[in-house]
Amino acid sequence: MNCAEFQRRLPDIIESGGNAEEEAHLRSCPVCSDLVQDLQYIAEAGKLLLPMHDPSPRVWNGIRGALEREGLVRPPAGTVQFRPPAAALSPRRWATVGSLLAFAAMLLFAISIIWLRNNSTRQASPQLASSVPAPVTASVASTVPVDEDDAQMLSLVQQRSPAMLSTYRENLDAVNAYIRDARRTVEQDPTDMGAHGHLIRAYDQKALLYEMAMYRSGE
Amino acid sequence: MAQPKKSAGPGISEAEAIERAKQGDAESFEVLYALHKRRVYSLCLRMTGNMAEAEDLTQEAFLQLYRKIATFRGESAFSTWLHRLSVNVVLMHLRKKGLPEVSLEESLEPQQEDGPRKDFGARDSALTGSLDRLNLQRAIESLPPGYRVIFVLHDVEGYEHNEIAEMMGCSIGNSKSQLHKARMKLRELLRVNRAEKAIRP
Repeated sequence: MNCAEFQRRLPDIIESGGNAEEEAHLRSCPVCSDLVQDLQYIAEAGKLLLPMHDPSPRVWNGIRGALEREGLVRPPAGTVQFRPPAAALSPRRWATVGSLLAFAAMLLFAISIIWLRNNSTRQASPQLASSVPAPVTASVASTVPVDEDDAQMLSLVQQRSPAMLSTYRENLDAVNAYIRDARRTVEQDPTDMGAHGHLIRAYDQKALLYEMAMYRSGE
Repeated sequence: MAQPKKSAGPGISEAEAIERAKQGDAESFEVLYALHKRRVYSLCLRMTGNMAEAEDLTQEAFLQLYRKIATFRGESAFSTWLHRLSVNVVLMHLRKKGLPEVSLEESLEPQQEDGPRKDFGARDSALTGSLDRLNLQRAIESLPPGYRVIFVLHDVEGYEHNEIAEMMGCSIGNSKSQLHKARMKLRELLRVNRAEKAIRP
Protein backbone atom coordinates (compact mmCIF):
# COMPACT_ATOMS: atom_id res chain seq x y z
CA MET A 1 0.00 0.00 0.00
CA ASN A 2 1.39 3.40 -0.92
CA CYS A 3 0.66 6.79 0.62
CA ALA A 4 -1.88 7.80 -2.02
CA GLU A 5 -3.94 4.69 -1.43
CA PHE A 6 -3.67 5.07 2.32
CA GLN A 7 -4.72 8.72 2.29
CA ARG A 8 -7.71 7.99 0.10
CA ARG A 9 -8.95 5.72 2.86
CA LEU A 10 -8.18 8.19 5.63
CA PRO A 11 -11.73 9.39 6.36
CA ASP A 12 -12.79 5.85 7.19
CA ILE A 13 -9.52 4.95 8.90
CA ILE A 14 -9.82 7.87 11.30
CA GLU A 15 -13.52 7.18 11.84
CA SER A 16 -13.37 3.47 12.50
CA GLY A 17 -9.77 2.31 12.39
CA GLY A 18 -7.78 0.63 9.62
CA ASN A 19 -7.28 -2.93 8.49
CA ALA A 20 -4.03 -4.79 8.92
CA GLU A 21 -2.48 -3.45 5.74
CA GLU A 22 -3.38 0.10 6.61
CA GLU A 23 -2.06 -0.30 10.13
CA ALA A 24 1.16 -1.66 8.74
CA HIS A 25 1.57 1.31 6.42
CA LEU A 26 0.87 3.67 9.30
CA ARG A 27 3.61 2.08 11.35
CA SER A 28 6.08 2.26 8.52
CA CYS A 29 5.35 5.68 6.99
CA PRO A 30 6.30 8.74 9.08
CA VAL A 31 4.53 11.15 6.67
CA CYS A 32 1.19 9.38 6.93
CA SER A 33 1.75 8.79 10.62
CA ASP A 34 2.19 12.53 11.23
CA LEU A 35 -0.82 13.26 9.07
CA VAL A 36 -3.09 10.91 11.01
CA GLN A 37 -1.75 12.21 14.28
CA ASP A 38 -2.46 15.82 13.27
CA LEU A 39 -5.97 15.10 12.03
CA GLN A 40 -6.87 13.21 15.16
CA TYR A 41 -5.42 16.00 17.27
CA ILE A 42 -7.46 18.61 15.38
CA ALA A 43 -10.64 16.58 15.84
CA GLU A 44 -10.00 16.22 19.58
CA ALA A 45 -9.11 19.89 19.94
CA GLY A 46 -12.42 20.80 18.34
CA LYS A 47 -14.27 19.00 21.10
CA LEU A 48 -12.50 21.13 23.67
CA LEU A 49 -13.59 24.41 22.19
CA LEU A 50 -15.93 25.66 24.83
CA PRO A 51 -18.47 28.36 24.14
CA MET A 52 -16.41 31.45 24.71
CA HIS A 53 -18.35 34.48 23.67
CA ASP A 54 -21.41 36.31 24.83
CA PRO A 55 -23.44 38.31 22.35
CA SER A 56 -23.67 42.06 22.82
CA PRO A 57 -26.61 43.52 24.79
CA ARG A 58 -28.28 44.61 21.54
CA VAL A 59 -29.24 40.97 20.92
CA TRP A 60 -31.40 40.80 24.03
CA ASN A 61 -32.78 44.27 23.35
CA GLY A 62 -33.84 43.10 19.91
CA ILE A 63 -35.39 39.94 21.31
CA ARG A 64 -37.29 41.80 24.01
CA GLY A 65 -38.65 44.34 21.54
CA ALA A 66 -39.80 41.63 19.17
CA LEU A 67 -41.44 39.67 22.00
CA GLU A 68 -43.42 42.73 23.04
CA ARG A 69 -44.43 43.58 19.49
CA GLU A 70 -45.61 40.04 18.85
CA GLY A 71 -47.47 39.89 22.14
CA LEU A 72 -45.52 36.88 23.34
CA VAL A 73 -44.79 38.31 26.76
CA ARG A 74 -47.16 39.24 29.48
CA PRO A 75 -47.58 43.03 29.64
CA PRO A 76 -46.65 44.90 32.85
CA ALA A 77 -48.78 44.37 35.95
CA GLY A 78 -52.17 46.07 35.84
CA THR A 79 -52.99 45.21 32.27
CA VAL A 80 -54.71 42.25 30.72
CA GLN A 81 -52.69 39.03 30.67
CA PHE A 82 -51.96 37.66 27.25
CA ARG A 83 -51.09 34.04 26.73
CA PRO A 84 -48.52 33.15 24.11
CA PRO A 85 -50.05 31.81 20.95
CA ALA A 86 -50.65 28.06 20.84
CA ALA A 87 -48.57 26.02 18.43
CA ALA A 88 -51.29 25.98 15.81
CA LEU A 89 -51.91 29.75 15.80
CA SER A 90 -49.98 32.29 13.82
CA PRO A 91 -47.82 34.61 15.89
CA ARG A 92 -48.75 37.53 13.67
CA ARG A 93 -50.09 40.41 15.66
CA TRP A 94 -53.43 40.65 13.82
CA ALA A 95 -54.33 37.04 14.61
CA THR A 96 -55.54 38.00 18.09
CA VAL A 97 -57.37 41.08 16.83
CA GLY A 98 -59.08 39.00 14.17
CA SER A 99 -60.16 36.27 16.57
CA LEU A 100 -61.59 38.75 19.08
CA LEU A 101 -63.45 40.68 16.43
CA ALA A 102 -64.75 37.47 14.91
CA PHE A 103 -66.09 36.37 18.28
CA ALA A 104 -67.76 39.71 18.85
CA ALA A 105 -69.23 39.75 15.36
CA MET A 106 -70.59 36.23 15.76
CA LEU A 107 -72.19 37.14 19.05
CA LEU A 108 -73.85 40.17 17.53
CA PHE A 109 -74.91 38.24 14.45
CA ALA A 110 -76.49 35.50 16.56
CA ILE A 111 -78.46 38.03 18.59
CA SER A 112 -79.56 39.82 15.40
CA ILE A 113 -80.79 36.59 13.81
CA ILE A 114 -82.82 35.70 16.90
CA TRP A 115 -84.21 39.24 17.04
CA LEU A 116 -85.27 39.18 13.39
CA ARG A 117 -87.14 35.95 13.95
CA ASN A 118 -89.06 37.25 16.98
CA ASN A 119 -89.67 40.93 16.25
CA SER A 120 -93.41 40.98 15.81
CA THR A 121 -94.85 39.74 19.14
CA ARG A 122 -93.66 41.91 22.04
CA GLN A 123 -95.25 44.83 23.98
CA ALA A 124 -93.39 47.84 25.43
CA SER A 125 -92.10 47.57 29.01
CA PRO A 126 -92.17 50.51 31.43
CA GLN A 127 -89.43 48.83 33.47
CA LEU A 128 -86.96 48.78 30.63
CA ALA A 129 -85.30 52.08 31.52
CA SER A 130 -83.84 50.66 34.75
CA SER A 131 -82.41 47.58 33.05
CA VAL A 132 -80.73 49.26 30.08
CA PRO A 133 -76.99 49.35 30.67
CA ALA A 134 -75.55 52.71 31.50
CA PRO A 135 -73.64 54.40 28.71
CA VAL A 136 -69.93 53.91 28.90
CA THR A 137 -68.97 57.23 27.41
CA ALA A 138 -70.28 60.63 28.31
CA SER A 139 -71.18 61.73 24.83
CA VAL A 140 -74.60 60.53 23.67
CA ALA A 141 -75.31 61.90 20.25
CA SER A 142 -78.76 61.23 18.88
CA THR A 143 -77.74 62.10 15.38
CA VAL A 144 -75.03 59.46 14.95
CA PRO A 145 -75.93 57.34 11.93
CA VAL A 146 -76.77 53.71 12.64
CA ASP A 147 -76.49 50.63 10.46
CA GLU A 148 -79.39 48.56 9.19
CA ASP A 149 -79.45 46.23 12.18
CA ASP A 150 -79.45 49.11 14.58
CA ALA A 151 -82.24 50.79 12.62
CA GLN A 152 -84.34 47.63 12.76
CA MET A 153 -83.76 47.32 16.49
CA LEU A 154 -84.85 50.92 17.05
CA SER A 155 -87.81 50.35 14.82
CA LEU A 156 -88.85 47.42 16.97
CA VAL A 157 -88.53 49.48 20.11
CA GLN A 158 -90.55 52.24 18.50
CA GLN A 159 -93.29 49.76 17.73
CA ARG A 160 -93.37 48.19 21.16
CA SER A 161 -92.42 51.02 23.46
CA PRO A 162 -92.21 54.42 21.78
CA ALA A 163 -91.52 56.09 25.13
CA MET A 164 -88.29 54.14 25.48
CA LEU A 165 -87.02 54.93 22.00
CA SER A 166 -84.88 57.90 23.01
CA THR A 167 -83.31 55.90 25.83
CA TYR A 168 -82.51 53.04 23.54
CA ARG A 169 -81.19 55.48 20.97
CA GLU A 170 -78.93 57.16 23.51
CA ASN A 171 -77.59 53.85 24.71
CA LEU A 172 -77.08 52.62 21.16
CA ASP A 173 -75.13 55.75 20.28
CA ALA A 174 -73.03 55.36 23.41
CA VAL A 175 -72.18 51.73 22.80
CA ASN A 176 -71.40 52.37 19.12
CA ALA A 177 -69.07 55.18 20.14
CA TYR A 178 -67.49 52.80 22.67
CA ILE A 179 -66.96 50.24 19.91
CA ARG A 180 -65.46 52.83 17.58
CA ASP A 181 -63.06 54.10 20.24
CA ALA A 182 -61.94 50.62 21.22
CA ARG A 183 -61.55 49.59 17.60
CA ARG A 184 -59.45 52.68 16.86
CA THR A 185 -57.19 51.98 19.82
CA VAL A 186 -56.75 48.35 18.81
CA GLU A 187 -55.91 49.36 15.27
CA GLN A 188 -53.33 51.84 16.52
CA ASP A 189 -51.72 49.33 18.85
CA PRO A 190 -52.68 45.70 18.34
CA THR A 191 -50.66 44.70 21.37
CA ASP A 192 -52.77 46.81 23.71
CA MET A 193 -54.64 44.07 25.49
CA GLY A 194 -56.61 46.58 27.50
CA ALA A 195 -58.12 47.88 24.28
CA HIS A 196 -58.96 44.33 23.22
CA GLY A 197 -60.79 43.88 26.48
CA HIS A 198 -62.73 47.11 25.99
CA LEU A 199 -63.71 46.10 22.48
CA ILE A 200 -65.08 42.80 23.71
CA ARG A 201 -66.98 44.51 26.51
CA ALA A 202 -68.35 47.05 24.05
CA TYR A 203 -69.72 44.29 21.84
CA ASP A 204 -71.08 42.55 24.90
CA GLN A 205 -72.97 45.70 25.84
CA LYS A 206 -74.39 46.08 22.37
CA ALA A 207 -75.48 42.44 22.37
CA LEU A 208 -77.17 43.01 25.71
CA LEU A 209 -78.93 46.08 24.33
CA TYR A 210 -80.25 44.04 21.44
CA GLU A 211 -81.37 41.32 23.79
CA MET A 212 -83.24 43.79 25.92
CA ALA A 213 -84.89 45.27 22.85
CA MET A 214 -85.80 41.84 21.60
CA TYR A 215 -87.02 40.08 24.72
CA ARG A 216 -88.01 42.78 27.19
CA SER A 217 -89.19 45.72 25.20
CA GLY A 218 -92.62 44.15 25.07
CA GLU A 219 -92.88 43.38 28.79
CA MET B 1 -31.07 8.97 40.82
CA ALA B 2 -32.85 12.22 40.08
CA GLN B 3 -31.08 14.70 37.87
CA PRO B 4 -30.14 17.89 39.69
CA LYS B 5 -32.26 20.83 38.68
CA LYS B 6 -30.53 23.25 36.42
CA SER B 7 -30.69 26.44 38.36
CA ALA B 8 -31.35 29.64 36.52
CA GLY B 9 -30.72 31.79 39.56
CA PRO B 10 -32.07 32.24 43.02
CA GLY B 11 -35.51 30.70 43.32
CA ILE B 12 -36.11 29.52 39.76
CA SER B 13 -34.98 26.42 37.94
CA GLU B 14 -34.72 26.05 34.20
CA ALA B 15 -37.79 23.80 34.22
CA GLU B 16 -39.78 26.44 36.08
CA ALA B 17 -38.57 29.13 33.72
CA ILE B 18 -39.72 27.05 30.77
CA GLU B 19 -43.19 26.56 32.22
CA ARG B 20 -43.52 30.22 33.09
CA ALA B 21 -42.25 31.24 29.68
CA LYS B 22 -45.04 29.18 28.13
CA GLN B 23 -47.41 31.46 30.03
CA GLY B 24 -45.75 34.56 28.63
CA ASP B 25 -43.72 35.50 31.70
CA ALA B 26 -41.16 38.05 30.49
CA GLU B 27 -38.71 37.41 33.32
CA SER B 28 -38.59 33.72 32.46
CA PHE B 29 -37.73 34.51 28.87
CA GLU B 30 -34.79 36.48 30.15
CA VAL B 31 -33.70 33.67 32.44
CA LEU B 32 -33.66 31.18 29.57
CA TYR B 33 -31.74 33.64 27.43
CA ALA B 34 -29.12 34.16 30.11
CA LEU B 35 -28.70 30.42 30.53
CA HIS B 36 -28.20 29.58 26.88
CA LYS B 37 -27.04 32.71 25.06
CA ARG B 38 -23.35 31.86 25.17
CA ARG B 39 -23.68 28.44 23.66
CA VAL B 40 -26.11 29.55 20.97
CA TYR B 41 -24.03 32.58 20.05
CA SER B 42 -20.79 30.60 19.99
CA LEU B 43 -22.39 28.04 17.74
CA CYS B 44 -23.65 30.72 15.36
CA LEU B 45 -20.28 32.48 15.39
CA ARG B 46 -18.35 29.34 14.65
CA MET B 47 -20.65 28.33 11.84
CA THR B 48 -20.73 31.74 10.18
CA GLY B 49 -17.39 33.24 11.13
CA ASN B 50 -19.02 36.66 11.34
CA MET B 51 -19.94 38.42 14.57
CA ALA B 52 -22.76 40.56 13.19
CA GLU B 53 -24.36 37.61 11.45
CA ALA B 54 -23.94 35.49 14.54
CA GLU B 55 -25.73 38.08 16.67
CA ASP B 56 -28.60 38.35 14.20
CA LEU B 57 -28.91 34.57 14.06
CA THR B 58 -28.76 34.30 17.84
CA GLN B 59 -31.64 36.73 18.06
CA GLU B 60 -33.61 34.79 15.46
CA ALA B 61 -32.92 31.48 17.19
CA PHE B 62 -34.24 32.73 20.52
CA LEU B 63 -37.27 34.34 18.90
CA GLN B 64 -38.11 31.06 17.21
CA LEU B 65 -37.60 29.34 20.54
CA TYR B 66 -40.05 31.64 22.27
CA ARG B 67 -42.61 31.31 19.50
CA LYS B 68 -42.41 27.53 19.69
CA ILE B 69 -41.87 27.05 23.39
CA ALA B 70 -45.45 25.95 23.88
CA THR B 71 -44.65 22.90 21.74
CA PHE B 72 -41.72 21.78 23.92
CA ARG B 73 -42.87 18.61 25.63
CA GLY B 74 -39.66 17.60 27.36
CA GLU B 75 -38.95 14.47 25.31
CA SER B 76 -35.39 15.75 24.90
CA ALA B 77 -33.30 18.07 27.02
CA PHE B 78 -34.22 21.70 26.51
CA SER B 79 -30.64 22.57 25.59
CA THR B 80 -30.63 19.84 22.93
CA TRP B 81 -33.89 21.15 21.50
CA LEU B 82 -32.59 24.70 21.45
CA HIS B 83 -29.28 23.62 19.97
CA ARG B 84 -30.92 21.80 17.09
CA LEU B 85 -33.20 24.76 16.48
CA SER B 86 -30.19 27.07 16.39
CA VAL B 87 -28.35 24.87 13.92
CA ASN B 88 -31.38 24.90 11.65
CA VAL B 89 -31.58 28.68 11.86
CA VAL B 90 -27.96 28.99 10.74
CA LEU B 91 -28.33 26.43 7.98
CA MET B 92 -31.44 28.20 6.69
CA HIS B 93 -29.51 31.45 6.70
CA LEU B 94 -26.64 29.91 4.76
CA ARG B 95 -29.05 28.47 2.21
CA LYS B 96 -30.65 31.86 1.69
CA LYS B 97 -27.23 33.39 1.17
CA GLY B 98 -26.60 30.78 -1.47
CA LEU B 99 -23.39 29.71 0.13
CA PRO B 100 -22.52 26.10 -0.55
CA GLU B 101 -22.97 24.23 2.68
CA VAL B 102 -21.40 21.15 1.23
CA SER B 103 -19.52 21.28 -1.99
CA LEU B 104 -19.06 18.01 -3.74
CA GLU B 105 -16.92 19.53 -6.42
CA GLU B 106 -14.83 21.87 -4.35
CA SER B 107 -11.31 20.74 -3.88
CA LEU B 108 -9.01 23.26 -2.40
CA GLU B 109 -5.94 21.13 -2.95
CA PRO B 110 -6.44 19.15 -6.16
CA GLN B 111 -3.11 17.45 -5.74
CA GLN B 112 -4.25 15.97 -2.48
CA GLU B 113 -6.55 13.70 -4.43
CA ASP B 114 -3.56 12.32 -6.32
CA GLY B 115 -1.23 11.66 -3.47
CA PRO B 116 0.64 13.18 -0.57
CA ARG B 117 1.69 16.76 -1.04
CA LYS B 118 5.25 17.18 -2.16
CA ASP B 119 5.84 19.91 0.41
CA PHE B 120 4.70 17.59 3.15
CA GLY B 121 6.91 14.85 1.81
CA ALA B 122 9.71 16.02 4.03
CA ARG B 123 8.60 15.15 7.49
CA ASP B 124 7.59 18.09 9.57
CA SER B 125 6.99 18.03 13.28
CA ALA B 126 3.42 17.21 14.12
CA LEU B 127 0.97 19.75 15.42
CA THR B 128 0.49 17.82 18.63
CA GLY B 129 1.17 20.02 21.58
CA SER B 130 1.63 23.16 19.53
CA LEU B 131 -2.00 23.98 19.00
CA ASP B 132 -3.73 26.54 21.15
CA ARG B 133 -7.47 27.05 21.06
CA LEU B 134 -7.28 30.59 19.83
CA ASN B 135 -5.29 29.56 16.78
CA LEU B 136 -7.70 26.74 16.12
CA GLN B 137 -10.65 29.10 16.48
CA ARG B 138 -9.08 31.53 14.02
CA ALA B 139 -8.31 28.74 11.61
CA ILE B 140 -11.91 27.55 11.80
CA GLU B 141 -13.06 31.06 10.95
CA SER B 142 -10.80 30.99 7.91
CA LEU B 143 -12.32 27.83 6.52
CA PRO B 144 -14.63 28.01 3.52
CA PRO B 145 -18.24 28.06 4.73
CA GLY B 146 -19.07 24.51 3.70
CA TYR B 147 -16.06 23.01 5.46
CA ARG B 148 -16.57 25.21 8.48
CA VAL B 149 -20.17 24.09 8.96
CA ILE B 150 -19.28 20.39 8.76
CA PHE B 151 -16.31 20.72 11.11
CA VAL B 152 -18.26 22.72 13.68
CA LEU B 153 -21.22 20.37 13.59
CA HIS B 154 -19.13 17.20 13.91
CA ASP B 155 -15.93 17.94 15.77
CA VAL B 156 -17.06 20.89 17.90
CA GLU B 157 -20.74 20.29 18.51
CA GLY B 158 -20.63 16.50 18.41
CA TYR B 159 -23.27 15.66 15.81
CA GLU B 160 -22.90 12.29 14.12
CA HIS B 161 -22.57 11.96 10.36
CA ASN B 162 -26.08 10.56 9.98
CA GLU B 163 -27.48 13.61 11.81
CA ILE B 164 -25.40 16.00 9.72
CA ALA B 165 -26.47 14.25 6.54
CA GLU B 166 -30.12 14.65 7.52
CA MET B 167 -29.74 18.31 8.44
CA MET B 168 -27.82 19.22 5.34
CA GLY B 169 -29.51 16.99 2.83
CA CYS B 170 -26.39 15.11 1.84
CA SER B 171 -25.17 11.55 2.12
CA ILE B 172 -23.25 10.18 5.09
CA GLY B 173 -20.31 9.50 2.79
CA ASN B 174 -20.37 13.10 1.66
CA SER B 175 -20.40 14.31 5.24
CA LYS B 176 -17.38 12.16 6.05
CA SER B 177 -15.54 13.32 2.95
CA GLN B 178 -16.17 16.98 3.61
CA LEU B 179 -15.16 16.62 7.24
CA HIS B 180 -11.89 15.06 6.15
CA LYS B 181 -11.25 17.93 3.76
CA ALA B 182 -12.08 20.42 6.49
CA ARG B 183 -9.56 18.84 8.84
CA MET B 184 -6.93 18.73 6.08
CA LYS B 185 -7.47 22.40 5.39
CA LEU B 186 -7.24 23.23 9.08
CA ARG B 187 -4.03 21.31 9.29
CA GLU B 188 -2.60 23.35 6.46
CA LEU B 189 -3.75 26.63 8.00
CA LEU B 190 -2.33 25.75 11.38
CA ARG B 191 1.01 24.65 10.00
CA VAL B 192 1.30 27.83 7.94
CA ASN B 193 0.47 29.83 11.03
CA ARG B 194 3.10 28.02 13.04
CA ALA B 195 5.70 28.50 10.30
CA GLU B 196 4.96 32.21 10.11
CA LYS B 197 5.38 32.58 13.83
CA ALA B 198 8.66 30.71 13.69
CA ILE B 199 10.24 33.14 11.24
CA ARG B 200 9.09 36.32 12.96
CA PRO B 201 11.87 38.21 14.63
